[in-house]
Amino acid sequence: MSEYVTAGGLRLEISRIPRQVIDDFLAGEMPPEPPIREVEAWGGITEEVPVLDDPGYLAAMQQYYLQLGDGQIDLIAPAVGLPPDCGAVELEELRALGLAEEGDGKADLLRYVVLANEEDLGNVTELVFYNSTVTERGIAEAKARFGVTWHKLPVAAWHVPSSPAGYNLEFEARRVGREAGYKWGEFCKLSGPEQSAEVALQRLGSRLAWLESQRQR
Amino acid sequence: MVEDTFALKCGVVLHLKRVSQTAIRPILLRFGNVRVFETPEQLLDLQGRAAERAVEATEQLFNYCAGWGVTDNPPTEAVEELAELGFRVNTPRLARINWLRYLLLEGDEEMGQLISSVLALSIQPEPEPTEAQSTKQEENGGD
Repeated sequence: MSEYVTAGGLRLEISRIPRQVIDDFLAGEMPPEPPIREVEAWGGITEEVPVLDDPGYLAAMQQYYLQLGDGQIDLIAPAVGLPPDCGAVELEELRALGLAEEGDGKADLLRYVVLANEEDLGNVTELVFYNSTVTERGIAEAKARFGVTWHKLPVAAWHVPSSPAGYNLEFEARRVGREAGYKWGEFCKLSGPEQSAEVALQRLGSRLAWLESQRQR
Repeated sequence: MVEDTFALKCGVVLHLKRVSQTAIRPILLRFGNVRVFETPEQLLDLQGRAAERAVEATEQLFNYCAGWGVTDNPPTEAVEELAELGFRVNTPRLARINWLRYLLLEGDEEMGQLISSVLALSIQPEPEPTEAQSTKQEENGGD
């Protein structure tokens, strides 16, 4: 549980949402692909290049960011605790103006009133993610707490060749969780900082293993 | 520099302020096409459910821009007149919106121009604080 004070001075309690909900949200909001154009490179060979300034693609990207930005409010709403009686008048007003949907109206209250400031929305979203899932902030905090060094320098300061493999944070978290002996559901029940610490442990362990392997040569 | 006032045909000059882009987002999504404002005439070609949604979204956009983007409040006699006519005036925003819609604005075109003015003001980058403003903020503890 964290506390956040908005630019308007409202004190919010920020808890967490199941990380699977975040994973599903991110997986369901894939950015559009740009159209591909074939261009002649040299020697009669053609290359396929993405057309990033295609008007249809630009419109689709705009729509994508709009949906992503708006969808995140519905996503985080269950984790945002409002002070008692906060927003009752505003919610009634939003309903009278046709701006609030049916239901408890909490997401609309956040959208139009409580988190209408972009910076507040960004900060609160970041906090909900931090409390719920693996984040770079959580990993950085865990790494700092572990204090792992190599020749008295932080392990991260040493150059270690990066892997050519590419994957997202969910893949990494599932792999880390499995290697640490968790079932996926159990891993998801850990708090965001705890999940992040497991990932930090694995990342630092890999770096240390590589550094050790070089020393033994 | 985008104007922060809007002169109505009836002679009243409204004072405008920026509205939240977070709040405008869901309304734009209801239009179904984020580029609708680049070619608003395409709204006239919409049919069926798409046309209904566009009307609803226009209504919401006006409500939000008038309620949150206009800073002037109706005079007491206008509020009384609206109340007598049965319009809701129990909050300042509801009173302002109904005042603009039913007593001041002359038709859809002027309503559209008011919406455009508030949106234009809102999508401008935040103005940099002047040196005098920065000093004052520091003195006030950054509030």
